[in-house]
Amino acid sequence: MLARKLVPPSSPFLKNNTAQVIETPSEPREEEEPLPLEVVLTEKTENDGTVEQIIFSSGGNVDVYDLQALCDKVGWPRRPLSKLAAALKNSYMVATLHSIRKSPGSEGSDQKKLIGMARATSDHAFNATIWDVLIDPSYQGQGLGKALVEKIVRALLQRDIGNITLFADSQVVEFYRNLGFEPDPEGIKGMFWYPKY
Amino acid sequence: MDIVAGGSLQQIQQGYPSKYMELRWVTTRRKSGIEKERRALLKKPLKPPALVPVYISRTPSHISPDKLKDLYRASNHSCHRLPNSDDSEGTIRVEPVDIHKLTIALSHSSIVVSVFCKPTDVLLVTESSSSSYSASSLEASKKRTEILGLRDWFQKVVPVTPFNGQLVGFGRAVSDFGLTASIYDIMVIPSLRKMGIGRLIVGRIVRMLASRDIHDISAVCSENERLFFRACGFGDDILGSTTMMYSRKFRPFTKAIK
Repeated sequence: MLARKLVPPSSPFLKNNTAQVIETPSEPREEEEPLPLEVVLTEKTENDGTVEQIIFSSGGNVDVYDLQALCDKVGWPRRPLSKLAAALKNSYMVATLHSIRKSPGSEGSDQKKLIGMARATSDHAFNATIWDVLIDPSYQGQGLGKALVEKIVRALLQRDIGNITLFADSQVVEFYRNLGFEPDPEGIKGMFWYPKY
Repeated sequence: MDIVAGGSLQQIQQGYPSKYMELRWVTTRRKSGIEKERRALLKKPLKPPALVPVYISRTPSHISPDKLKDLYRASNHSCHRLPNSDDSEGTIRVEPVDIHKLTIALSHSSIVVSVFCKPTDVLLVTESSSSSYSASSLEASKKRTEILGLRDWFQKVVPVTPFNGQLVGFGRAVSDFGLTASIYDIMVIPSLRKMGIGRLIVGRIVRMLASRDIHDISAVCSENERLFFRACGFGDDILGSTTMMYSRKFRPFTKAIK
């Protein structure tokens, strides 16, 4: 699995404790620079020699069953698998975080686990909406959610998509505020359709 | 052709639900309701409500980006949610929409609805709602409609289509065809507002999404659009979520991008 590494911005969002951030110089920008497919966000070596890497990917290769399991872990209500699959397929951008654990001495038996996801729908020109941001509870509090959203926002801005919206639950409003999102700016609000039976 | 003469807005909107029946009637009745009171106060003669046929289309190829750009300008509608450009009088004048980006947005919008009206009907409604209307001009316009040549009669009889009509209303939505959809850019030219065209557009979009089993439909709107969407059946989120938008003033990435 090829991992193209990009230098992350001197971001205050990624904590620098025992984890090591791998950096290489970035490539020159082209007209429509695609979001790099994979970036290693953190790499940690445990006492027994196991190496755990957290890999960010925007390739959109998400196993729908893994996603369902992750949604269960976070405590979200279940949604039909076919709808999940369709939603992923038709989203403009699907970003994922996977944890890869490599035990020392056992080549080829990597453990790969989906630990985070975020997706955005867009008209590719003006508007985008970020839906379904989730991080595995056991990996929360490490700045991974921030990194995920940050990357999506940056990719959208690079493509000159200026209206980025999301609908945040009350507990996460602060989280998004720290990432540059404003609640109800200039009286703009989201409304939802309610069928009247 | 579905002919519902006058009646409530509800009746007009339901029409005949076949996908081939794209003609609808909208009325200035509601508009003239307010006008009536005004005229009664000013002791001016009343005009009969105009019943105007419109063609509502779901086919993206019926829209020409140039005509759409004109509609955006006529409606003073901006694609950028936070337009922030004031002219000298203090009214917000939005920047003209980038046609290249508009074409891209159109091609990636899951649903696109456009409404066409005969140019003569647009003039009719515009004239009849202008404030300089008087008894003498009512007579004059009656006379005008009586003297109809064959060409005029023909134009009156031929139904409005996207090819002979003027683009007067538009709306689009982006969806993932699985769970969610977002409605953007609902607009109607100012002279034909308050006739139910906006509701027709939103209703059509919602019906198309519901038929694909998508019921989580969002519409981000400003203060003055809120009443309109409420009338279309939209409300605040029952789950109590907060709408948040990325603020352009927050730019930690600009240095990194360069």
